[in-house]
Amino acid sequence: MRTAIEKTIQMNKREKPRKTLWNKEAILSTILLVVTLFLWELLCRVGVFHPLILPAPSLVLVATGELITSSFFYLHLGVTLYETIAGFLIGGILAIILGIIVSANLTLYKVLNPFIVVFQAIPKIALAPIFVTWFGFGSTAKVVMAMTICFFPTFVNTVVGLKSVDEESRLLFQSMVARKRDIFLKLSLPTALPNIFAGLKSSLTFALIGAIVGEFVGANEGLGLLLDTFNFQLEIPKVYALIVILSLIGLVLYLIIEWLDRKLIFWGDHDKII
Amino acid sequence: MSHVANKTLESTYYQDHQIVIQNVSKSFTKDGRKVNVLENINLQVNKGEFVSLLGPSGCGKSTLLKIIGGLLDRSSGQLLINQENVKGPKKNIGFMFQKAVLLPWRTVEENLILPVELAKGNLQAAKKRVSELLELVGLKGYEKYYTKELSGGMQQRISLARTLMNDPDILLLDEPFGALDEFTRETLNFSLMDIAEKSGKTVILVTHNISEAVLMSDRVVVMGINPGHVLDNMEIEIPKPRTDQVMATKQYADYVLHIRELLGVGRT
Repeated sequence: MRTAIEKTIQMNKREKPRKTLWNKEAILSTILLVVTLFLWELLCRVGVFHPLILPAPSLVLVATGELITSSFFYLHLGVTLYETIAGFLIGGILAIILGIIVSANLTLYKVLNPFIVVFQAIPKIALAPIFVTWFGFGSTAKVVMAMTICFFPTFVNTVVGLKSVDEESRLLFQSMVARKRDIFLKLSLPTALPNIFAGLKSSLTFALIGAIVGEFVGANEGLGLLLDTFNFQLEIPKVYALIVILSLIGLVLYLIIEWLDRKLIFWGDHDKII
Repeated sequence: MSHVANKTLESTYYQDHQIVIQNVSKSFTKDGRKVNVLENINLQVNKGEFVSLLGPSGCGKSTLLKIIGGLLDRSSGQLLINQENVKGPKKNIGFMFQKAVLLPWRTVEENLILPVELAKGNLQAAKKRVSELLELVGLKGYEKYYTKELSGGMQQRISLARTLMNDPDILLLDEPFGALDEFTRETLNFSLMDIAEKSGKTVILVTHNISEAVLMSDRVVVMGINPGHVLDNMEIEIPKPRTDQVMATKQYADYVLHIRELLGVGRT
C-alpha cells in the first residue's frame, strides 16, 4: 500500500521538462524585436518618417542616455514613483478593508451596491481636473488620482474572492464549531487572497496611469510633466525615451508584485508571465 | 415548540439510544412553493452502531445527516443526541464530506491540527496525535506534504484522519468516498470499517451504493423520494468482522436483492 502511494507522490513531484530560457519561441520573439527595430531605424534614416513624427531608435537611445545621466530626471522620477506607490498603497489597502466590511454585511452590500456600480462606471481620469482644483499642483492631487483609479480592481476582486468560499468548506468549519473570527482568518481570507492579488496587480498598473494623467492635467514636477514639456519643446526623442522609461517602471512594479504573489500564494496556480 | 425536548424522551424512554430522531420533517420554500425534503423521519441509533442511510438522489439523506450534525435546522420534530436536544453543531461529532475540503495553504499536519486549533485545544498533544492518525489511515510520514501533492484517495484519508482528530463519539459521513474510483473506494471502506470496529464509535454513513451499505453496516435505513421518507430499517445480521468473502454469501445477496426491490432497481 505504502509503496504504491509513494510511487504516486514521486510521479506527481517529478519535474515537468524544464523549459530553458532560450526555447524556440523566445528566440523567435527576439528575432522579431531586432527586425522591427532594424526596419524602424532604416525607414527613419532613408527619410520615410520625419524625425519629429517618428525618431529613429538610435536617437531615442541617445535621448534615454542623456535623460538618465541628468540629475533633474531623478527628481521627477522620484515624484512620479512616490505618487504611484502612495496612491497604490492607500487605494489598495482602502479597497481591501472596504471589501471585507462590505462582504461581512449583506445589508450594507445591497445598500452600497448601486453607488459602487455608478462610481465604477465613471471614467476616473475625467476626475483629474477636479482633483487638481481641490488639491493644487502638488503631488497630493496625483496621489488621490492614482488612489481613485486603482481602488476598484482590488475592491471588486476582494468582494468576489471572499464570496468564493465553497459551501463544503463553510460547513466543515461550522461542524467544527468555529468562531466567526476563525472562519474569516483561517478560511475566507486565505481563500480570497489569490483574487485580492489579481486585483492588486491591475491596480498597480492603473496607479501609474493615474499619476501620469494627474501630472498631465497640472503639475510642477513629475515624469508626466516632463513628457508634456519635452513634447511642447519638440524634443521628440526625449518624449519617446520617457515612454520607454515609463514602460520599464510599469514592468518592474508589475514584476515585484508578481513575485510577491508567487511567494505569498504558493499554493495557487500561476501562469508564466513572459 | 418543536425544539423543546420532551421530558419523557429525555430521561427514561430512549436511554439506550445515542441518537433519537422523532417525527423530523424538513421543508423549504422555493419560488414561493413549499418543498418537503423530509417527512416524519423516525430513527434511533445505538452507541457504537454503524448505520447507513441509503437511497437515490433527492431522498434527503444528506439533509438528514446535516440535521443530525446540527448544520441544518429541522422544520419540525425532535432530535436528541446523548439525551440532549440538538440546537447546533457539537464538538463530539465529526463530519466528513464527499470532497476532502483540505486547506491548500496548509500542510497535512496543519490541516489535521485545524479542529484542535478551532476548539482552542492543546496543540502540542495534537501534533503527537497527528503521526498516530496518519499511521492509522496508512499515510505515515506525510506530515509536511501539501494537498496538491496528494491523490484524491490520499486526500480523503487525510480528511478521515482530521475527522478523528478531536476523537468524536459520532462520525457523520456524507458519501465520503463517493468521488473516488472503485478500487480506492473499497480499500478506504475496509479501513473505515476497521477504525469503526476498533474505536467503537457510532457511525452514520450516507451512500447510494447498495453493496457498500450492506457490507459495512449493522443497519441499513433505506429511503425513498418525494418527499424523503424511510422505506425500511433493516438489521444486517452478518457477523463481524466482515471480509470480502461476505459478498459471496447468499445472506448478503438476499439483503442486496431485497433493497434493490424496495428501490425498484433493475428489470422486473
